[in-house]
Amino acid sequence: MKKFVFLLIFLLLLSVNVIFAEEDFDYSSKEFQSIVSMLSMEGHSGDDLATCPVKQTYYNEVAELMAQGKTKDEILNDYVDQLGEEALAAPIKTGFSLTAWITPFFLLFVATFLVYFLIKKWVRPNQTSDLNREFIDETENEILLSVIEKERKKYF
Amino acid sequence: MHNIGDLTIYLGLAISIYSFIAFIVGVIKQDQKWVNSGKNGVLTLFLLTSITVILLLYALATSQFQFKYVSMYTSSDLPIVYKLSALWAGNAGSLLLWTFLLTMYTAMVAFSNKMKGNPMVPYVSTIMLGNAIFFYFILATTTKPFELNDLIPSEGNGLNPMLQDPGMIIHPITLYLGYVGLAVPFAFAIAALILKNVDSFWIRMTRRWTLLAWLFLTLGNLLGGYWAYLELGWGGYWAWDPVENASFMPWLTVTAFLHSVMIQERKGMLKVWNLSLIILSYALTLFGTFLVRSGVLTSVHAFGDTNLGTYFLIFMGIAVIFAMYVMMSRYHLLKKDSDYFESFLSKESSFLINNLILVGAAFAVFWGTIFPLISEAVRGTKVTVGVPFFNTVMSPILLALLFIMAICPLIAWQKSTIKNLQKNFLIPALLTFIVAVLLFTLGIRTTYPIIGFTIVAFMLFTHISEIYRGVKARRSVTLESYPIALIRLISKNRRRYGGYTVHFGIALIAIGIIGSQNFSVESMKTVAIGEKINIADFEITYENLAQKSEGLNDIIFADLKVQKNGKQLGYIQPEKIFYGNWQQPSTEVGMISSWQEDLYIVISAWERDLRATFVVRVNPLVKWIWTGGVVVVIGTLFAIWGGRQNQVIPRYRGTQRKVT
Repeated sequence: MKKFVFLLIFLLLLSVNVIFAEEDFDYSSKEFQSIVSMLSMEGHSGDDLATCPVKQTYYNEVAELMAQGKTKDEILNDYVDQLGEEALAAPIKTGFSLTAWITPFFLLFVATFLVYFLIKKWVRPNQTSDLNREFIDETENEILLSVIEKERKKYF
Repeated sequence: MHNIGDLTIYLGLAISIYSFIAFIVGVIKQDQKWVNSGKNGVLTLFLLTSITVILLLYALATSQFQFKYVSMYTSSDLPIVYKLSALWAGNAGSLLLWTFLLTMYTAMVAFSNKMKGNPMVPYVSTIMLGNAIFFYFILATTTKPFELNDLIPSEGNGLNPMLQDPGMIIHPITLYLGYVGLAVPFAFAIAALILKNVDSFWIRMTRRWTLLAWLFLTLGNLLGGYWAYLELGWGGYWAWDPVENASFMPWLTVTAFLHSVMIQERKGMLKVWNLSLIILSYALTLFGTFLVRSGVLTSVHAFGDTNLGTYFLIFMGIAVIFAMYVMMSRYHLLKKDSDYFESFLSKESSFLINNLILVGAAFAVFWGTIFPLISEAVRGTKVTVGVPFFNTVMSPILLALLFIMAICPLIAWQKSTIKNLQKNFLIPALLTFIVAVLLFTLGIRTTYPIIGFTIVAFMLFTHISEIYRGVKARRSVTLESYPIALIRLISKNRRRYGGYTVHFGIALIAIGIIGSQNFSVESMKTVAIGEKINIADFEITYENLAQKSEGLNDIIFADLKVQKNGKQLGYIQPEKIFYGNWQQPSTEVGMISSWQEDLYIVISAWERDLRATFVVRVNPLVKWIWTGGVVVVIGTLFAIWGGRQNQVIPRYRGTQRKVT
């Protein structure tokens, strides 16, 4: 009985979805995907569309707004106006939220300089005397060592 | 049984404290008897933890619902394999598993043949026991596995259906083996610092341990992705969920560590950096556990016990502060005997850049993960940092990493020259150019896939070129045939060629990720029986909708005939499973997988007239990800086991002690 009730509830929930699907709306369009991928959907953006009513509601809304001729920015702004920045799946690129985007690259940039100066510092100072030194090829070096080893075993 | 279970935990706490003290007394007094007593304590502790685990497994298997844990995570109709895997479905069980693995690792280190006569053993054991005490304290006070119900329920809650999957049996245990495994190199690093033995001995002793932990972390992440792809029905494998990030961050830092230790082994440099990396990796495993247990961030993985999170945060703080203190107090020693780089253009430099990118990537993931908390603290708004953020930030960083992986093998140690680089890179660069032109001709015009595939091709060509150079050079001296020269070249240096095999695996994974992230198509259609859905080159005919029962579960399934370019590929059956004791139905994806793409179908809804709605996705190249994972595993195993260099036990040259 309990199972039957669950089944019934599930079917009722999905009936909304079927109505939407009846419109035969193909949401594989890039524009549609670029909009829904930017919405956090109250934490349901990663859910299975087939079973998540929250995600289905968002998809329906976006389809409706697109049908009204609204652009991506307008739709996203509508959501931000209603729900705040939390409506989006990523921080906005202004104000304090901008730091989310630039900090990793800024630090990488600084660290690159640091590594550059470290290597410069660590390069042997009297390298002019080593100019004629042959570069060491690891593969050839290994082969040479293995041949020496083989010869050693053979003759000694 | 309740009493015995609790008793084993209290005894475990007592013995871990005793052994911890015994080792410290043994070290201070330089008395082998105390150290031996501590070692016996370690062995007893492992046996005791094994008994506790067996007891809980028995309770789970026999549905003893008087125990809270058993009634919360199992039901009597659950198949035995899932009853047993409920051991890691909740907080108490998973922490018990963690403790078991920790004591197992401690016993393995303390009684390893390679450790005979090694004065580091008491120190390493003490540090690992410090961890064990913490976990036992948690099990004894906060999260008790054998806590009883006030009223014995007639039936348990059952296991979350999403966890009822073979992938979920292995995924958590592999991740735990990886997480806990990192305690070993951490303990060795701290022991080396305490003993003032700061050469690369501890690195050589822990190479296999670190590789093993890295392998398990890799496996854990891949299996998690595989499970998500098959079981969650959203068509993806990685969602940048905070807890996924928590296991990815130590993976990145340990990868950096595995590369940078080579410089310390060869030149005695980067000692502080390597120690910092292993401390960071260990701290990140605790941070990950904090994320899972605290519930501070929204995640599908979270257990959400705030108190427990606080304990982990405190423990992580203590461990990091202690480790940093010991490291800084030995800073003067660490700076001694440092060699120089021969040239700006050398493998050493390229490893440093590789480390820069890997740690940069780890920081980017960390920053994105904690930014919601920072934002909430600064502005009072908990912003979401999800897939769009991570994809945007991580794509260029990971592409740069692939590029470094491509050029590293062809740069010589110590010193490379422009002429040398020109010689080595000419053919791979030409071949890569041809690939780029081919990609463009085939119609790929978007920037990221073109750049991504080109870099991966370059990486594959440089590796093949490096192996070919080795085979050619070997043949010129030994006159062996190509296959023999190849086999001998590889088997003579398993570490290096195992590493290259891992790189090949990463290249395959990268191909899969670039393909599936950039070229997947999705559609949702409602169709009547006999109607068709067309997507990409596929034609899917909806033939039937029916219901069946499996045990207590009801299953709704559809029969779909699949054709591609007019050729019949067979039938697939997406399902929706309704559980007797679980509100949410679960999804069984219908899938046809090939090297080119996966046809991925989820049944979404249906009506009385048998019309049904399907979510259909075509995900290109996903199979390459799983295949790449297998190659990574093979490469790592190849690098870990056998080989001449692995038979040699490094010689301890540090401060001698009477106790070992």
